[in-house]
Amino acid sequence: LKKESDATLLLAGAGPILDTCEAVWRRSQPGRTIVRFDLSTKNSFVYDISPLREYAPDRHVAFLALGNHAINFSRLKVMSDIRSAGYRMDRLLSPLASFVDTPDIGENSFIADGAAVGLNCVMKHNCFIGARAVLGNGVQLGHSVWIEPGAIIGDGAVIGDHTTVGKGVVIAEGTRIGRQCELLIFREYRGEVPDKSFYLPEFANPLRIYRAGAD
Amino acid sequence: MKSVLAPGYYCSDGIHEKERERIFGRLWIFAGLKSFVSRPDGYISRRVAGIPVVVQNFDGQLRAFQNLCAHRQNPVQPEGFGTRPLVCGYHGWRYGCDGLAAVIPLHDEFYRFGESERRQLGLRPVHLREVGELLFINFAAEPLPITDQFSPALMEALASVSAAFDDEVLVARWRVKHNWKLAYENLRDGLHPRFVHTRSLALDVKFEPPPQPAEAPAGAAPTLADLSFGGPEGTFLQERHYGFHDHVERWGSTNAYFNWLLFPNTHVLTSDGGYSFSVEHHDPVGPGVTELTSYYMTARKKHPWRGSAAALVGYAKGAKVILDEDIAVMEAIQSGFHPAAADSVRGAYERDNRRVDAWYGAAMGTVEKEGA
Repeated sequence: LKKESDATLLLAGAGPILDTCEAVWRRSQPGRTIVRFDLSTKNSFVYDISPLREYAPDRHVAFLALGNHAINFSRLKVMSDIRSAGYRMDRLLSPLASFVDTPDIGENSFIADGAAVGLNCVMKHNCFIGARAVLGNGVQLGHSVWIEPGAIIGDGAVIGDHTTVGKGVVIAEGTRIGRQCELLIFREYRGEVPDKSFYLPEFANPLRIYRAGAD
Repeated sequence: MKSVLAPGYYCSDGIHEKERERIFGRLWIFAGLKSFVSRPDGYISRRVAGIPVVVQNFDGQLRAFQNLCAHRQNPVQPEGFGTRPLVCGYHGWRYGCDGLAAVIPLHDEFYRFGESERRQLGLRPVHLREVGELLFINFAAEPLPITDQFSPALMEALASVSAAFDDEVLVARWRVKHNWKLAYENLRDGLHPRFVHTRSLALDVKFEPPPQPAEAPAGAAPTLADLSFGGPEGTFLQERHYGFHDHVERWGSTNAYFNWLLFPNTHVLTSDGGYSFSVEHHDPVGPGVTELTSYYMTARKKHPWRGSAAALVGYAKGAKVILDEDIAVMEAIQSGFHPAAADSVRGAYERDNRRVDAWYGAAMGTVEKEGA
């Protein structure tokens, strides 16, 4: 196997995030061969990854750039499909992002220009850290977390799988955000936010999804 | 013809207090969905016309009480939904299925109630009935039979449709600045969608107010059960297929917009012929302030489906567009009310509203302009 940084990159995705990631890839690794795939979809949930199959998994590395944060679990599913097809997934850390140490970053995660990551941060697969977002020390992100540009995540905050943190939002230190939440109202969040809580600009009060018997 | 309800009925503190006693204190009022209390210790805690109520699951038995601890009147359960035994957080009093204080920590050291007094310490019980998956409570000491309020046919329809509700439910709350009655007068008005919802609902659904006789027959006073009704009300101008339809067991097969209006303050609907549902509940907070709680759910899932939360949020956003159009009208009407304002009028097509006016007036005991 080639080293990930040498192998040809299969850059797959859709929408503006694909353009952004391509630009960062080309800037950070100018000599690397990149093959771009604009994935097709009928419903924004299921994407056709069959065009990648023309490229042997043992000689290529993939990166998925999908921007529909409302269905973060769907992005993770597409990534899993690509991995199941035998491809290793790369990580994209902008050279214009800053790191205090080497963060523990899952596959297919992206850290954009100007983002700052503190000490001892952990982010699982498929996380997106937008431009100028700040992660304090000891922040833990679950799978497929989407942090929009300019958000500030305080020291020790924990954010559950598939959650989206909106532009400029502040998560206070030590706050625990549940799974599959959308925090899109510009404000500070503190304490605990339960799973499937939706703070949407259209609604004055947060929406909650309940499942029988589950808190 | 003039409405029998003068503007004061929508903006008077005195009327609001009287409604709490004569309407919400006597009738069966929607309290929540059974799926929220399906597990032991599951609870629903909310206010009904200002009174805190808790519905609690005790090892499979559902009971309702006023949610005020017998000791210091602290709410025993926090407002909302969850799973927690019925224990007051203030001094740890624990209540059993009968509502009595089963455990009073440190009783012998600090409280020392006499034996007979100790045995009577408990929560005030509230009557509870299930209609399918819908829970209703009644504050009266001797409540009227629920069949006096909802006809057997309606209860059968509610049981059928609510059995199709999925147990994953999105809950949204709004505080709106209008009287609760305006919302239901609007819902009983089948003419308004073609004017108010021209860019939303009316593009997809055609509502026709049912043909009405010009006048109700003399002497045909409406019964309470006449005030709650429902069924298919609108026909689709275009059928729409959404991705989530493939993942759920549709209720029925009729391509229609179904509404069920449950007097006094609950609205059940399926806007897509049985693929998804909502329950709206308007709780009066004051004469000009109403707390609206909406529950959104799809029909039961055929299989676990990870996109269900996104589908529910999308559904809520779509529903809110229509709700906002209605709320804007209601709040505009409310803002113009004052005790000396002119009475509104009811047209021939507004038979259902006239029936409610007549029953409500009699129940409140103060309406004297009957049939004006």
